[in-house]
Amino acid sequence: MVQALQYFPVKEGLFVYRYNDFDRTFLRERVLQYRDQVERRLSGALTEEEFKPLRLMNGVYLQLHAYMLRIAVPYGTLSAQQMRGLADIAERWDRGYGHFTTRQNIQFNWPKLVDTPDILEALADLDMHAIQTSGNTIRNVTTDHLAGAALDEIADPRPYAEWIRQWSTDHPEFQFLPRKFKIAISGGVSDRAVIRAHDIGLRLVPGMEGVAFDIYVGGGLGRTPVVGNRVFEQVAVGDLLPHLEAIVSVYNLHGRRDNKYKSRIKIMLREVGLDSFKEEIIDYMKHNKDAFDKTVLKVLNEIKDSFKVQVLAPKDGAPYWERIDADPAFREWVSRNVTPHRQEEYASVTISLKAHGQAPGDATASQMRAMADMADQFGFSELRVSHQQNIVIPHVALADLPAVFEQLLQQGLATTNIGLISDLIACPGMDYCALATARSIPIGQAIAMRYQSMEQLLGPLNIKISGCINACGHHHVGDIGILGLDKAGVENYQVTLGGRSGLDTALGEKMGPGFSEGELMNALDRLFDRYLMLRASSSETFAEAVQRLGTESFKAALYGVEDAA
Amino acid sequence: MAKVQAPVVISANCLLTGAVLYWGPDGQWCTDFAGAQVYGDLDAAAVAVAAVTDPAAVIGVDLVPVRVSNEVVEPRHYREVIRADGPGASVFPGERGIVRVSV
Repeated sequence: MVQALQYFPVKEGLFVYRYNDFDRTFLRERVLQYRDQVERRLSGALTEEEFKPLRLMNGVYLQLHAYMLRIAVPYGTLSAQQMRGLADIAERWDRGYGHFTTRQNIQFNWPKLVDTPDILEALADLDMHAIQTSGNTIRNVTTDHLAGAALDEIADPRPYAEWIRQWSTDHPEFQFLPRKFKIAISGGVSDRAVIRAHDIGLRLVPGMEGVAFDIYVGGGLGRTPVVGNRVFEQVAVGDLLPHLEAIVSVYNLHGRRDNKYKSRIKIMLREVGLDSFKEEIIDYMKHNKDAFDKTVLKVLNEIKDSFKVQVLAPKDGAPYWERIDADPAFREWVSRNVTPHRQEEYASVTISLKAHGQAPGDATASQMRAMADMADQFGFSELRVSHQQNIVIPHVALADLPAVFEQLLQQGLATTNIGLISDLIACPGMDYCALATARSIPIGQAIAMRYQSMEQLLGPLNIKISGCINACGHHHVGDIGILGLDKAGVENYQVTLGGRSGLDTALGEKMGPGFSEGELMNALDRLFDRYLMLRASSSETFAEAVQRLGTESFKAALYGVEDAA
Repeated sequence: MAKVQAPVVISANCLLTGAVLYWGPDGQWCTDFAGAQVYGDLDAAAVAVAAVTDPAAVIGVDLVPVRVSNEVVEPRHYREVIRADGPGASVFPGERGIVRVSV
C-alpha cells in the first residue's frame, strides 16, 4: 500500500461536491482492480494487447517519451486540498509539474507504469480519479469556469454536470461506444463552455419550472468539424437524463464502428438525418422514462445542496480602490484577469498559465501549492480549470485582490494577458503526443514571445493551435487557428481565420497552403500589420475586423500578395 | 505507410517507464540515440527485431530509418528526432544522457 500523503489541514471547499461512502468504496475497488491488472501485465500474465484497453480505462496512455496519466477534474472544479494533492503527485511520481488541458483536466507526462496504481490510490484519497478520461466512453463533463459566480448566470450548471457525471460513470451500456463522447453544459447567457463543439451541448434556459434545457447534438471538431444543432428545446429538468440516455443509446446502436474517422455522432446524424434521429429519440424515451423516477430527482436535489450558493460575507473594498488609484500594473491586471462577480463586492480571478515563453497550461508543483494556498486564504478553498488552460479562483473579495496580486507576482503567476494573443491554447503536440503530426507548444511559445511587446496594441485575440487533425487545440474555433501537419516529412502549419466559439460558434475558414515554422511567423507579421491598417478603430478587435471585412484581404496579407480588393 | 528504407536502428518504449529505447551493439537497450546499433540491411534488422522483442520488457519494437553522414547518425523524420531528444528544451529542461538499462 502507498504511504499516505500528508496535507495541510484545510477547510472544505464551500461549493464543492463531496464524495459519499458509495463513491469512495467504488473508487477503492477500482484502484484494487487496476493494481492487479498492472501486476499481471508486469508478470507477463497479460499481453500488451490485453492490457492496453485496461490501462486506457484508467487514463493511462503511452505517449512518445513516457506514459501519460490524464486525471479527471469534474466540470473543472477543484478544492484547494485537491490542487495541493496534485502538486504532491507531481513531485513524488512525476517531474514536478502538471499540464492543464482544454478539457479542464490535468495530465502528468512522466509517470512510470509501476507507480500508476499508487497514483490512482493517492487520487482516491483526494476524491479524484482517472476513470473515463480515455476510451470510447462518456468523458469528463465540462462546463463554464465561472459557474456559480458569473453575472449572467441563469442557473449554476455544476449540479447538473455532477448529476450527469454520476449517471455516466461506469454506465454499463456506455463503456464501448463507437467513439469517445463529450458533453458540455452552460448556465450563462453567454456560452463559455463551447457547447456547440461537443457531441451533446446543454444550455440552461429559463423554463416553466424555473429552468429547462436546450439540447444541441452533433457538434465536434477534429477531422470533420461540425457545429452542433439545437435538437430539443425547453426540456424539463426531470426529462434531461432520459433524453441523454436515449441520445447516447441511439448513437450506440447506429454509430459506425467500421471506420473511426466516421464514428462520431456528428457523422451518424448526417447519415440518418435530423428528423429521423429525433423521432427515434422520442420513440426510445417511451420505454426509458420510467427508469428515471423521483429518486433520480432526489439525487439531483442532494447534489444541489452541496453546491448551494451562499451570500458571501461583505468586506470593506477600500484597500482595492486605493490600490487601483495608485498602481497602474494592478489596474491593468484587474482589467485583464479579473471578472465581475454576481455579488457586488466580489470578483473572479483568472490566473494565467501563459507566462510568455512557457508551455501553455503547465504549472509547477510549487505554483499549484501557491494557487491552493491563495484559494484557501482568499477564495473559499475553491479553484477552477478553464478550457483556455488557465486557473480561476471564482469567489474573491475585491478587498483581497491587492494581496492576491502580490502573491501571484511572487510566484510568477501575475501575467496580465487574459484574452490577449499570448493567452493562446495549444495541445501538447508532438513534444508529447503519439498521435501528433507536428509540434504545437513551441509554436505557441514563439508567438507569445514574438508579439509580447505589441499584444496590448493588438487587443483581444485568440489563437488556438492543434498538432494534428484531431483538433485538441480547438483550432477550428480560434480567431486564428493553426493546424500542424506533416507535409512530406516537414512540419507544416495551416492557418484558418474567422472561427469563434459561443452560441454563434463558427468554423474558421482555411486560408490556403500551409507554412513552415519560420514562414508562419512572417505570415503572422503581415497579417497583424494588415489588421492594424484596416481596423475601423482601436476598439475593433481582430475577430470583428475579419467578420466585417471578410477574409480575402487578410488572406492576401498572410501570403504576401497584393490585395486585389 | 511508406516503406521503411535502410539504414535503420531498432527502437521501442520501456514497459516499466515508457522511455524511448534503442538497441545497442552491446546487446542492451539504451536511452541514447547515439548508442543505437545501425543496420544497413533490412533483413538483418528484421531478424534482430524478432530476437530482441521481449513483451515483458518493451513495447512497440520498430525500425527507425536514419541517415548516416560523415559517421554522424540522425533520424530521417522529425518525429524520431523529437523522440530521441525529448520535448523541446524550452518546454521542459531535459535530463537526457547516456543511460544503459537492463530491462
